[in-house]
Amino acid sequence: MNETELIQALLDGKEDAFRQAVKDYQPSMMQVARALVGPAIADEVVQEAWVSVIKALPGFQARASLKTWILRIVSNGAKTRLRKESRIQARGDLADLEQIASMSERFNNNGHWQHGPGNWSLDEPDALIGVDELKTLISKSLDQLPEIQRSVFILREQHGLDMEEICKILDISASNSRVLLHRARLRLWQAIEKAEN
Amino acid sequence: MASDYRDRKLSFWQRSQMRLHLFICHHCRRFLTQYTQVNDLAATHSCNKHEPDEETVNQQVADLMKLVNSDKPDSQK
Repeated sequence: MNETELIQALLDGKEDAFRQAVKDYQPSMMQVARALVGPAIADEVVQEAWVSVIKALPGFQARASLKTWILRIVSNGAKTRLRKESRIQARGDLADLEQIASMSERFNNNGHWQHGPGNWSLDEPDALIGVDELKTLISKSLDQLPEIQRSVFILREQHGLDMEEICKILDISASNSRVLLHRARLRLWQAIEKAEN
Repeated sequence: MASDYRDRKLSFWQRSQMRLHLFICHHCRRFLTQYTQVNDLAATHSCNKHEPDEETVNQQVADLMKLVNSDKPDSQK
């Protein structure tokens, strides 16, 4: 079903439409909820968001894609939840001092590489680690990222949202979003670099 | 800069400077190749996408259908 057909089928209350919507949108909804309220109550926020989606769907005007609209509902719900509980979600990972320190050691005072990247390539058949191991390593590294970094990365790279949408959904500035994305990417590179060396 | 170069967010001038630097600096060239390869692989690898299993989907759908049906007048159920 394309988006227009899906919306109509949802409005008609068709079960297979709900099944498709859950499969298509729940992963990114969870990602947004986790980024904003943390993993402990992300499930509840997503459940509440689905209720809001059902109620508001008749008024959906297609000014944005259905996905973006749903994710904004999640985002608004998460922020409301945070306000109700008087919580401030820690976003301290913007500093990410450990990563900054480890990369800066690789450069000298003139900004040139002091310890260059190792001589490896994922294209080479005799790479030290195989594809399955690489995927496990990437998965582990993504899990270890600060929540907000992981969310920006996954929403951008795996869910295909553009950065402007991500900024609105996660309530971060454009410059912060680019920094978070770069740091997530850099951490992945560092994890593979460590394993390959 | 590496991230912006990969995403084509640099201006024409910045991109040209970057290309010139990559022509000269083999460390940066190697880094950018590796950075791109790792991230391309991570982008296509979906294990962190929190895709729901069949049981979760069934439960979620059942909950949503209950909600939808509870909003309908009895004659439409």
